[in-house]
Amino acid sequence: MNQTPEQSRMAVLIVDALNLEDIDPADIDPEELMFGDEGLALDSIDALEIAVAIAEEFAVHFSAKEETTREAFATLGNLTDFVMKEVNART
Amino acid sequence: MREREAPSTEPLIDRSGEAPWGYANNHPIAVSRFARDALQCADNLPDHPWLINVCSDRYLFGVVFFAALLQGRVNLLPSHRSSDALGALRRAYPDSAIVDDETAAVADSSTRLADPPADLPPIDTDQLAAIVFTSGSTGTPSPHPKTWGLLSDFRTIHWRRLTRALEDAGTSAGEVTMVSTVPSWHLYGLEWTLLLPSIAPVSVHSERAFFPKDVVDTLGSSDTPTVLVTTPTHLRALLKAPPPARPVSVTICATAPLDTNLAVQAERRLGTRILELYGCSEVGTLASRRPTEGPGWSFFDYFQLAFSENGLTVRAPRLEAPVELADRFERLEGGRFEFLGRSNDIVKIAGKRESLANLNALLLGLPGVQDGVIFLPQRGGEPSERLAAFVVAPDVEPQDIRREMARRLDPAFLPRPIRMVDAIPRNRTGKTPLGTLTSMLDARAVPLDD
Repeated sequence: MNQTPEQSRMAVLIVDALNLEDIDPADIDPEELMFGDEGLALDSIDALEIAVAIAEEFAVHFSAKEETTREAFATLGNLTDFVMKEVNART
Repeated sequence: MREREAPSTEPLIDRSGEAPWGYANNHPIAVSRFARDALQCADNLPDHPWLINVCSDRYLFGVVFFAALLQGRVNLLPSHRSSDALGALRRAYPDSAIVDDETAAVADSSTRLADPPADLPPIDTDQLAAIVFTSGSTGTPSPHPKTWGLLSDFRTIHWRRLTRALEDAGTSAGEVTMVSTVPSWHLYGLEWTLLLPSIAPVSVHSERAFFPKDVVDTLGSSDTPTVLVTTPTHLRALLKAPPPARPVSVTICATAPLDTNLAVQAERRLGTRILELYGCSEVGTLASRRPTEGPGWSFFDYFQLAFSENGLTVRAPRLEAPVELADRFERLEGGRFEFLGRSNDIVKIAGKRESLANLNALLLGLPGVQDGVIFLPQRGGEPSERLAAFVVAPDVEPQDIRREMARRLDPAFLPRPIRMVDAIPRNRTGKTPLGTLTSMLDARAVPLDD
């Protein structure tokens, strides 16, 4: 469950955005589900707050209409991949 | 004299068939099409009296909701949709079936009637239309039944209120387009985004506008006046997004008290006038106010209010029993009421109420927890949007506390943060004042690995 540097940065962003101080960002498994009853057990308000933080930090905007969005929010790994792909597509 | 024994009915839909019911991917769907879909779906519903309607698509949710009414079935609307919550509901209602987008679409298309009538029969006002559930941390969801008569009255009252708000915003009568960040299976969303289009020239976008960009794009895509149905959380997120291409005529906001500063900024940002609503699951939407024009709430005329030692009690013609509100109000001049806060024990997170006593009992019952307190921090006179917890559990990892709580609770009530401490300062009565807890929380907002 080693995090890549990008995943570590995203983990810190999530922990900061959601005020999850009981969670060490380094402990978030990139493959573990973040929402629902498992893992971090996040809810839709958390998704909104993460989206706002990502928009501020990376200027990447999510759309609930895109099929890929639900998948992107599933795990730390997916979210990082999605955001990095968007960022790299710009440059 | 009025004949009281005569059976009373209300139409399911009272609008011209050609009018747009809503939009899917910006394409209009006619009212007649919705009516036909509901009739067809009614013929194909699972053969159970209780239907757990978990459709995510707003249009399909509405089709199933009305189809159930046509068949005399009852929509069960859980407060959240985790497998645990649905399991608890199935156990409480053994003769129930889950209807989701997939089954709804199949039910809608499996028997295509050759020439289906688009007129829906009226429905008895006494018929049970839905049961809205609030989560109980004891594990058993609490039911709040809604008859068709009550829901039908709501749409009339709400349309009257919204018409006035649109007039105040300088919008003339005519079609309005509604964009909602609130799902229709939340009572607030049900009342304002499913019931209104059945009698009023209101068309709702099917997609749940969730992320700020979705909301802004959808609002900007309409060429009729727009109404945004939302929450304080979404308004705050929208402040950080680009403004919509066109101003929003009216913004309806509910589920949590709206901070005046946020209301002022959001009105400016969206070019809108905010109508704030107050409601509860036991009844529905009860009162409204303009948050930028003072603290007074006006309860809808439909309700009769009575003060007692227990607080404010609400009665209404089609409300089965009087409801004592869990919130405290004080009468102001001019028939308005000021909201004084929740009864001490009740918190409202993400539009859901829960008892702090129940939450604290759950925390203290977790393995390894020696002491602990869950509370809603209060800053600048405003409650925050999330709960926080202090926990004394020297032999337990914080993530285990989180995991154990997540298994038992709606994620909305999971404290953020859960902070491990050596002890919780308690006064002689064993309590810790909220101010002390909030200061403790603010005093050290750093990660735990220090």
